[in-house]
Amino acid sequence: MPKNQNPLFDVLLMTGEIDKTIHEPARLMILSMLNVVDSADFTFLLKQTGLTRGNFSTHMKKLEDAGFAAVTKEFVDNKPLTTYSITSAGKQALSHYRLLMERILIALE
Amino acid sequence: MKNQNNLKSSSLRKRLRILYHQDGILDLVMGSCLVLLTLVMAFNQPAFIGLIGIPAIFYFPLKNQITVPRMGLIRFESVEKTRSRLGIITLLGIALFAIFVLGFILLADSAESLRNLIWQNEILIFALLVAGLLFTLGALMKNKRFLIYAVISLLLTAVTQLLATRLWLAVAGTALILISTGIYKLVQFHRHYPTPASE
Repeated sequence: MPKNQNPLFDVLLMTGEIDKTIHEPARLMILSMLNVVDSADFTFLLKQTGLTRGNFSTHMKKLEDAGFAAVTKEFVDNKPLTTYSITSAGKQALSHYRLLMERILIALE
Repeated sequence: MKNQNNLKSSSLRKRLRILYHQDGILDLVMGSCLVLLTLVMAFNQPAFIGLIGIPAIFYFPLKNQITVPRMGLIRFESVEKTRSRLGIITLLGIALFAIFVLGFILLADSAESLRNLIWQNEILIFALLVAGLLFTLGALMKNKRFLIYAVISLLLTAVTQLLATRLWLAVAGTALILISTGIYKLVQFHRHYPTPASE
């Protein structure tokens, strides 16, 4: 069947475009928070997401590897501070994800 | 669609801001400033008016000591942007002060009439200054609580005038409300975010 004859088929094709790095709920939560601030530290993101330390580090590593988040290590009052921020690639990917999901959800209505 | 997305992002940003200021430290600091203002007014010592800002210098140390270890650190804008904004505010403050001094020198001849004008509208000027300060803080921090404080301070000033009582009682009342709310918020914050050692 030609794809333009069945709208549902188009939707199914669109789902293939979803970025799986962002689509995971914990990573989506982290990236959405980083998107609206300049930076946030490990403790803040850990508390707000409710993830365990290990789980959080794994998700952050995936976001870093994908180039969506950047990590900065600094010393404040002689204490190590790890802060995270979203990269321009991350902002772009999140914006694309949001538009794509909206299109998919509208098509499924 | 883009506008809608921006709206959702700004809503999340607003919620994060409220979350970050739920510790009550700002309420306590502002309440302390108003307590000092009450003392200056009650003892009629206008020379000490500059001292009412002293509690403000404790805001960041308190935030670093209480909030950051429990809740973590969040920066809503880059350090450079914050510095440039503070620089602009300082320059504006200096410019306003210079205009005020210059105006006073130029209007030296009519200083008497100016003084009379200030005295006649003393309550209105004062009420607008305190409420304006709280309102500006609320608007800058996107914090509704401070907008409510601004309205309360205006109402209390009106009540003191209706009861023909002393004006500093309105400031004392506002300070009391701010400090009580600050303490309540701080206790709630401690319960919600225990110290890292006791987790």
